[in-house]
Amino acid sequence: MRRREFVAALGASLWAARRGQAMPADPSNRASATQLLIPMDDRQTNHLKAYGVSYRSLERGGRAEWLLNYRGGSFLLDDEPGARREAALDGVLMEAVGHAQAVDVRGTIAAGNMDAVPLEKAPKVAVYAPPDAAPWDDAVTMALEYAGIAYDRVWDPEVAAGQLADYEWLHLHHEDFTGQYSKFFLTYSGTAWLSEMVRRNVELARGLGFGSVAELKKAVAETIRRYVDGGGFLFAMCTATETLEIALAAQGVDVAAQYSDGTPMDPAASDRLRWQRSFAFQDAQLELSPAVASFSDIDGHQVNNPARRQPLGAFTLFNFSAKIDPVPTMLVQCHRDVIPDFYGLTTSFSRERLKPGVTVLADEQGAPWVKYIHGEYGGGTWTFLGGHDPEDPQHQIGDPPTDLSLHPNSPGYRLILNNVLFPAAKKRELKT
Amino acid sequence: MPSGPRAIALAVLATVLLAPAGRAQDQGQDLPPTQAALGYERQGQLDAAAELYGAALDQSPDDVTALLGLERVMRRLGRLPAARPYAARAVDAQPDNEMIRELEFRIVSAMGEPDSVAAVVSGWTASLPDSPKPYREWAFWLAGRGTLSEARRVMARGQARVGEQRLAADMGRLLVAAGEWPAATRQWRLALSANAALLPAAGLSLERAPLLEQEAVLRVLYEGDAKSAQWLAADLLVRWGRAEEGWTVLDAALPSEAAVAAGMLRRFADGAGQRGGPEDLRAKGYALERLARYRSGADADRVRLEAARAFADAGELGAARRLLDRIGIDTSSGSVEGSAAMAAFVRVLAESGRLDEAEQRYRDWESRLHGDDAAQLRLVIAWACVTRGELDRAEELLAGDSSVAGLAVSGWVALYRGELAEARVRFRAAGPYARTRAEITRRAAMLVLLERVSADRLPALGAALLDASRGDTSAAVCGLESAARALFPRGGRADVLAYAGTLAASAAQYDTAESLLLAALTADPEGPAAPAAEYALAEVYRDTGRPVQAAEQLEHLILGYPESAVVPQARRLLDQVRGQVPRS
Repeated sequence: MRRREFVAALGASLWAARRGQAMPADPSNRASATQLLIPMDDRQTNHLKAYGVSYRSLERGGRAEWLLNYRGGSFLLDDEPGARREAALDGVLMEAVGHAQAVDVRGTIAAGNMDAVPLEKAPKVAVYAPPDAAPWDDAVTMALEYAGIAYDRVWDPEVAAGQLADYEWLHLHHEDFTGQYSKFFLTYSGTAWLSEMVRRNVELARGLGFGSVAELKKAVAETIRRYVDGGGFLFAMCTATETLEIALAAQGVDVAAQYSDGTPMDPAASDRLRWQRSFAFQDAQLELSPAVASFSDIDGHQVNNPARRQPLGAFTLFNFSAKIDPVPTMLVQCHRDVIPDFYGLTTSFSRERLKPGVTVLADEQGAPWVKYIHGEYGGGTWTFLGGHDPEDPQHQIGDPPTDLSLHPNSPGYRLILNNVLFPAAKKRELKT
Repeated sequence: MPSGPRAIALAVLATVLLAPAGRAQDQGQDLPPTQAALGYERQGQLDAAAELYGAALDQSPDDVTALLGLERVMRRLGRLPAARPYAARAVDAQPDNEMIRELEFRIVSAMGEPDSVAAVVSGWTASLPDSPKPYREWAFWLAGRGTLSEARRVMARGQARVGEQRLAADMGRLLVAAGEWPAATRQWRLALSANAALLPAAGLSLERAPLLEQEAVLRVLYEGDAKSAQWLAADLLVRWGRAEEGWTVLDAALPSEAAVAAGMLRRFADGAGQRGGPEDLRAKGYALERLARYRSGADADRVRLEAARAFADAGELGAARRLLDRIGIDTSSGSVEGSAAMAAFVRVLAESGRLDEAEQRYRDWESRLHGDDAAQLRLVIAWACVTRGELDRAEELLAGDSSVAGLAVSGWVALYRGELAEARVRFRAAGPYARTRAEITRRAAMLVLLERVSADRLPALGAALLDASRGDTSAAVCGLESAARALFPRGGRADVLAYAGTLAASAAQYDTAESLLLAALTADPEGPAAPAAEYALAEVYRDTGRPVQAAEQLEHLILGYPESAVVPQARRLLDQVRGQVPRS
């Protein structure tokens, strides 16, 4: 459901909430003998697949609720054979809840910093990635594959053709929207994978009528901005966060190195960027050296900039008021409050580069950077999570892919999956 | 003289040890203030201790023991800044004392004020301009605060002042932290050229180089002809799982001094042996064979024996035999050492397939072998007989052996004869600890199978299992299928068929495997063998490109036997066949 639609749908649930009805007044619901509770605390045997079980239950037309802050952010589903079967197959712990127990649960939720958010429909998910990319180098596609959540892959031709409008949810991972191939061009010069990436991108840019890959990526970034403005949900990780913002701010400014577009980067590019066009950041200084695989001072950790590289710590999720701030509360549902940090080409976001009004969802206490941020833009929302792979904190190119069946309770991957279900929520649009 | 933190630690230790015990009750009466303070400190009376340490320093500002004590106590009290004036007075009293300088740095740096730290370092370098320590301490303090670039600047300044080589190892560590692998390698190379004893530290530091940087690291080490750099390259290649390549490098760069070369060869062999793969063990064998040339007499033979074992473990039986032929074992002494050498020799002979010679040697030396060695060897030779199918010979060797390990081996003898009841008894009696971990697992699995077979005697089954143990899978599968026909469907037929199916699958005989596993499931669809058979069948489907069938089989298994021990691995396989995780 696009954001505008569920803002419009606010009325019924808000009305029900004001009258003190925790559940929709549905006779069939009252008649229901049991529901299925998927606890998401430490008792859960497979947190990641629990999201898939809930998502697919919605896909089949079932009803679900997200019990924010209740036992780690549990799900309450209709008792249907499909959900039971899938939970058994996936090793997801599920508890049958009778009517009396459900009343207890709702009492507990009413009394604490918790809330029950109805989930309405399984959002249609698109992941922006090259068509031939394996899912194993992208934390979100890994999480979606493992949880069994269907998604479509979209790439520049689909974006150019306006197909983003078909999706509620768009994910970006480590795409470089400055068109500089993640600035690996010099370091990995001559490697087969980079040559193939360059060839593919150049051909595509020409095919779509752009003079350079950098120009194509700016156009794609602009389309994504309009998609969010029009009510879409955007989730981005790793380099996509920082470079999308730079590309949006750099319309009309050359921010790509000579190897990318044939002309050197504008030496005064940092001063010419127009940050009012971006979602999250402002006033960043760009990295001018084409040999340093870093884009700007937005990233706090600078993993590939030896002079500025910072060690990894741990980040802490904020505790929001579930009843007043349901959206950020949904995004931080987790069975762990403190999560070990993990590097990416963009690992974190400098506090001093955040725009006013950005909601910080997680940060490293005492550090000058934050990890996980969220905000609204036009009719939609965006969420950025720094880092590449929560279970491979020092990921290097060429490392074996992460096998999530070895990390079924990963708190970091839960944050990604929170973003998948968040657009499914029929939420009360309140904000502090 | 030890220096730096080590010296401080030694000073503390000495002070604590030398402090008179049993005087805690009357400290402060007759004792010097430092000793009385130590007594209070040991009793946990930190305020009193701090006061006395302070008094001692008032009397003698450069009393290192008192200053150390004061720092310790104040740190525990959370009042470290109060120790700073004492440190400053100590420095004034003895500006050239490096230990006092180091203590002052420690106290000031703990407060986290960069300007103060810089001022302390400035005084330190002015008094001791040739010392690398202030730069080292300052740089690592900065690195610990996450300002690596500052740290590098400080270290570079230190290198410019006291000589690049004296701080090269430290700079190497910093560059590793910054991920600058070739530059770090250059620094370590420089450090090693002055001090080869840094080799283990260099190896440990550069070991973490990511795969894509490893060639760049090696290129730096191969520049020029510095032997120490090549030793480091060999060391790194072992750590990176390229032991044979490492051996080639080391072999060409061995030092001329025998003792150094021998030490290096031993280190290389141990490093390769720790990894334990066939390539590693081969490289270990080469290194030990070379090491034997630096030894003489029995010592050389022991090393050759060790090399032969490495080659045998790597499956290089020819190389193992070549070395054994050159070994002259001293069989006359009857010493513990001689017994161990004889035992090792016979073991390698048996394990490398020279069974007759092994048994002959064993019988010749039996009276001179120590008890444990003799018993172990008997088992090794008996096991070698079993694997060759010479069951009578094995039984003869095991006669009278009632040890659990002996029972385990004799259990296999009984099994391969088809004496199933006897095999069950012996396996049970052997228990869960006898022999190697791999064999314990194999024995437990076999006991589970035997418990389900209703027959007490079935020579066809024994013969088929012997074929399996000798690697003749085709004969084993035929034999097992034939033996299964003699059993009731629920009296072991399903289990034996499932076992045969799994064996066939492991030899990539997928058609046979599929039909045997399906036959097992038909014979007893809900019996105890069914979950494992379903799992094995799903693997066959996966390996023959039928992921949908594999997924269906696994779903049936998970939903049908939710409590089975096979379910977790079935879920993992289900993830794989559905493409939800990368196939490992």
